[in-house]
Amino acid sequence: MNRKLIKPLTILLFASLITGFVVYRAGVLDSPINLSPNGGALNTAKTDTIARADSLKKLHMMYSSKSAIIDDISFNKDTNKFVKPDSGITQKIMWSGSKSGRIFEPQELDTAFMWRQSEIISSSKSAIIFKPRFSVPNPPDSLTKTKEKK
Amino acid sequence: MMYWLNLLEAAGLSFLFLVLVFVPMEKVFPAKRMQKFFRADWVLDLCFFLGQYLLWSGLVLWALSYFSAYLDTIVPGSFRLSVRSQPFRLQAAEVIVLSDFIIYWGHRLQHKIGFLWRFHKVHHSAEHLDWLAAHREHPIDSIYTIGLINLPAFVLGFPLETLAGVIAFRGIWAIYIHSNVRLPIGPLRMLIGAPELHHWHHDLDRDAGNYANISPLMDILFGTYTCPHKEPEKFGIKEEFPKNYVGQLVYPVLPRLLIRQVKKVLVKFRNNASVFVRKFTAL
Repeated sequence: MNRKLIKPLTILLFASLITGFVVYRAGVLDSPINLSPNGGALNTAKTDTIARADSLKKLHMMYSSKSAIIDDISFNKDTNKFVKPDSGITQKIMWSGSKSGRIFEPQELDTAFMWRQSEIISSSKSAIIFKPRFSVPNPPDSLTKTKEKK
Repeated sequence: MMYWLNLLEAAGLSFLFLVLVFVPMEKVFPAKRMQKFFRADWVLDLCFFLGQYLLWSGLVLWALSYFSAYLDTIVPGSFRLSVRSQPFRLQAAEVIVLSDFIIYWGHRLQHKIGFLWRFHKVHHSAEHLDWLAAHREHPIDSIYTIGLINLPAFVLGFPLETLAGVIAFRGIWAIYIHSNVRLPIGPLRMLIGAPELHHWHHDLDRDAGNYANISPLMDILFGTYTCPHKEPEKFGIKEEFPKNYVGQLVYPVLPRLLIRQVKKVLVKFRNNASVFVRKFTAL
């Protein structure tokens, strides 16, 4: 009797855990709107007052000897247009010394290891199940000041 | 400090969750009945699991985000516009099918080309398959595989976050097909794959087949599908390979000549030592 029950129960547990995981990762459990006790939408949306770096990702890399990107433009997926960076904030880039150079800038490290919120298809072997929680660090003072001056 | 604590928390939670999902299945529907939870090389695979969460995943994501950003600069906007003018579901299907197609051929090349096999054989060196062994993967192999599988999405500029559920399912199913489970699911396995198919991919034979990512459709299409009605006798590789974590990470990046030289020196040293011991004992 027990054996007959164990098999379907195990499959049920397996199926429900997988379903729960998929539902959780699909963001179905996240409520998109904050509701007030009487069911109305709360006006809790805050205006983003923190100055941030460009909404467009800037790439800093050494170009090949054959071609180079002259103007810093990128394709905006929402508007289907090519756009320029929305701020004048620039990062200082310099050649490293002949002996050693900084491989990662601190900010790059932050974003790289922030485990980007956007999804990627995992390999055929394994996947990251739960992503680490990270508190988003405040932007450096220099960035805020640049934005305020504008 | 907080950063490492968060990483540890994610690794610990994931480990517990995977134990809860897969261990009951492995106990009730085992493919290899004699295999225990703490089987040989369990610690080695745990090192790979922890390494993936604590060390390599961030690096792999970083490499991929740079690769994707680089592609942004070279893919013509007009091409992306024409792709985007298609219905969303068609785009999603295109991304999934193209990903499966590319990873199928990418994976076949990993088994054919010596340079790629050097990294990929880390994953195939597992002699015992279960959900934990799925995590045995060289970081460079991860960059190659994940890069290829995401290539269509990167090129087309497709927002994968809109398919988060599908991607989560594929991720956990990829671990499931490595688990020590034999539970035939009938024709459904043609769509989502199954452990009995992937176990044959891990057979001692390097060209055993079943190269497809999750769904075996590509294997059927290109004639590499195999599904005997029993489990392979042995998993692993025929070649000699280090049995420890650092060795498995370092060995593929060492130049072959250096490895051969080191081996020769070690063999000479061993022979000399045995001659010396024989002479010494004869005295």
